[in-house]
Amino acid sequence: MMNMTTIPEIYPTMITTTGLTKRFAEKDAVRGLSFTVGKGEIVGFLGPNGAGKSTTVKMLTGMILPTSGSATVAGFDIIREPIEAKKRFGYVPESGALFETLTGGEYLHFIADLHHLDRDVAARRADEFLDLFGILAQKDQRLQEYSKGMKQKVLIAAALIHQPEVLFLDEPLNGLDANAALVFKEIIKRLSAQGSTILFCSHILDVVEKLCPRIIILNEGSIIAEGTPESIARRTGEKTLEEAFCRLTGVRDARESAKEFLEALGR
Amino acid sequence: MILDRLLTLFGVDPLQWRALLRASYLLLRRNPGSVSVKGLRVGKASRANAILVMLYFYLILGVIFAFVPWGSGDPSIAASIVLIPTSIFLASLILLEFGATIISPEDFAVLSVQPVSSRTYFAARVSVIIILTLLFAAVLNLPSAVSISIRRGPLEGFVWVIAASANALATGMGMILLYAAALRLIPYRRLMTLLAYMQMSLSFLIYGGFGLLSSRIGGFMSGIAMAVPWWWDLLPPVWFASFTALAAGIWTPLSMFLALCGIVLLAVLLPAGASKISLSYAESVSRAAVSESAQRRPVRLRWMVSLLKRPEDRAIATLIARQFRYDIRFKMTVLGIIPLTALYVYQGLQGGGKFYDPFQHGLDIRGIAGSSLLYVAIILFPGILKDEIGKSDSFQAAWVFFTTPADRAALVLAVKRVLTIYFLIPYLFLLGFVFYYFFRNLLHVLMHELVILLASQLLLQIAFFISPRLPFSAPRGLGERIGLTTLIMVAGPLLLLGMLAFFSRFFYTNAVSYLVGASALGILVAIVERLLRRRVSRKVGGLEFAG
Repeated sequence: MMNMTTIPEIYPTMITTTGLTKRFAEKDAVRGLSFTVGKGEIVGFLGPNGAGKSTTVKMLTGMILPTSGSATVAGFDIIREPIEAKKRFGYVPESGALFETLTGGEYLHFIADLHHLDRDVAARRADEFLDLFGILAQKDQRLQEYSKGMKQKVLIAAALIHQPEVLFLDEPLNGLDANAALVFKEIIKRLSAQGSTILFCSHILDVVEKLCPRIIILNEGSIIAEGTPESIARRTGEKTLEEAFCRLTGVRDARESAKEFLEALGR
Repeated sequence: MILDRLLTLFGVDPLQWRALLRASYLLLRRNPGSVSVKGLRVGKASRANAILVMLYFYLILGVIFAFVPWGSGDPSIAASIVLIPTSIFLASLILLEFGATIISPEDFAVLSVQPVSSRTYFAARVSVIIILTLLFAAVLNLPSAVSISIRRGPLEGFVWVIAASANALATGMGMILLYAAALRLIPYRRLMTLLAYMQMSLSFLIYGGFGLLSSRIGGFMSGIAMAVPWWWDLLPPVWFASFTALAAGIWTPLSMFLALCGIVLLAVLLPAGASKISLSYAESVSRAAVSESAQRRPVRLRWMVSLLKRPEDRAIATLIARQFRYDIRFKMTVLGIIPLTALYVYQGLQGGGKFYDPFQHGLDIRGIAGSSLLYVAIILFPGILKDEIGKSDSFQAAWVFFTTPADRAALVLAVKRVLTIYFLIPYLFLLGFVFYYFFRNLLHVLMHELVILLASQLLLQIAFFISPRLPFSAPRGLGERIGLTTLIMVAGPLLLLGMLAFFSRFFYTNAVSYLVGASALGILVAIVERLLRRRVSRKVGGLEFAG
């Protein structure tokens, strides 16, 4: 089990966690998590359901407080200097929750106001983003009337509107159509090339494999593997990241599991 | 089991019936106030069963009702006085708190793909409504039954229980019919808006009815015969109340006829109401709700937002305005406060008779007490609103307050500023006209209003001091409003009245005293504002996202 990553020195550290722990009632959701992410890196954050990915991101974004340990984002301690840290990151939540009584345009202005963005700049960027995702015509419609994919586009636009240095993306491709997903993946790559740091949480292993040069795998609140997709596969003696992931997270052979499942159903 | 056989006999699947009943119970019990989300237990244990909290408050009302039959001479009128408000309370509960238990657009989405027959669906729904109405009717009416059993014997107490149960069933079924008929005529979303206005009307009925009847009831309980209006016998609860007259041996043609009307009504309502609950009906509701949603274009808010300079204020003003426009529950709450406020203003004007210019007549505690309800309304509206703005069904969207660099304390204080600018000041502006009508001195009106504004601002600061909350960030719990409303209704106005009485007694005597007093109050508000800022910063720093 690895705990602390070393990243190439050319990358100034943008995300650091040291012994990050979150305890709910009797259970540790995240246990002593320590890792770093450098400037311009795209890091895939993987793990089975309940592994602690979202809890970690919630702590890193200041939504919940850690039980112990510390974390910095863009050089600012998320507990002691949360406002400075939050000025520098954007977040796309897994829940996709929005104030749906607002229109798409109003929501982006709402977020821009919370970031103290100039109103004209906010208006220009909001229109650009909505246009990019092909929903500019629906700008004045309430979010209640948007499809799931359209809402996701608004969430992505809201995360990018203040041009953050760090992006926390929790299942960002949820509900996006194929075109929008392609555009968004291209945006991520370009942002990374321009120096933005991206922590990408997802269950879709092929997307993570293609997009993220480095991967952190979490299980039961702890890091169980870290490195490039190839190095993780190599270390586990498997051919693909998918197989390595199954082995590391304790899932039995997928074919065997499916067979047992169908047998239990009497088929 | 006998029940299973009975259900099967009527074409109802007993297993599915139980499952649907259990799901309804869990949905009611695990309202957002106590839901468990992703391992995070949201809400406190005391909120675990919101229905129990509601039952508790209705039980208190029931105990108050029990004094009516205890002190009265006419059992039928006593029963009517209890059963009429019971019907209003039950109707209000069914429509507003438990509306989804009758039918909701989500039913079709969830159940249409399951092998549930319409008959089973309807049996489960009717069972839930019957259980709920009987449960709430029990806490409202059983204390009266006990009271009458002790006073007049067990037979009359027993008949009281039958009358109360019949009244509850008729109200429940009547509401189902009304809801179903309204859905047939009005699209689902419009119906939700209509319900908001119905809440206002019901509030008027409850508060206004008690206000108008209180003097008559007082005399009636002292043994004086109460003269009932001509339309009294047209009210269905009066029909059921006449059962008690028969039990007391009053076999007049009118009481027999009214009792018969009650029986016939029940015989008609039970099958008619039940027939309206079906899965195919849920399908049409579901379709109406979806097709209608794309039709309305929101009104622009530029004029409103342009008044505000701080970005946090603009963000919060937009959010509050939009939640009011499109979040039906929030709208209901806001509109529900209006009738109470209006009635207080009305009764304040009635009670005071005339507002004397406090600068000319030396306003003292008696002068203020005469029109106290007018002043009560000043703090009531923003006070309740302050609490309501903290809660929302869309609380999960509040993650933005935790992940953006917006100063959370500034957001909480923005709510206070928005309340002051858009609710308190307009109300004081209207009140200014009332004052001017009586005082005929604009300067005195302005001076008096400045003091009221500062005093009410101080109270609002105290309310935020006690419980600073981010807007729309906490899950809403069933029936939570009752407890807090009671507190605000009692403590807030008392403080305001005390402050005004003190002020008028010592500082309205001459110009210098006024200047000294108003300045002192202004300084106090400024100091409390600084303290509040510090307190809010400290408190919201420890808040965690509830979703």
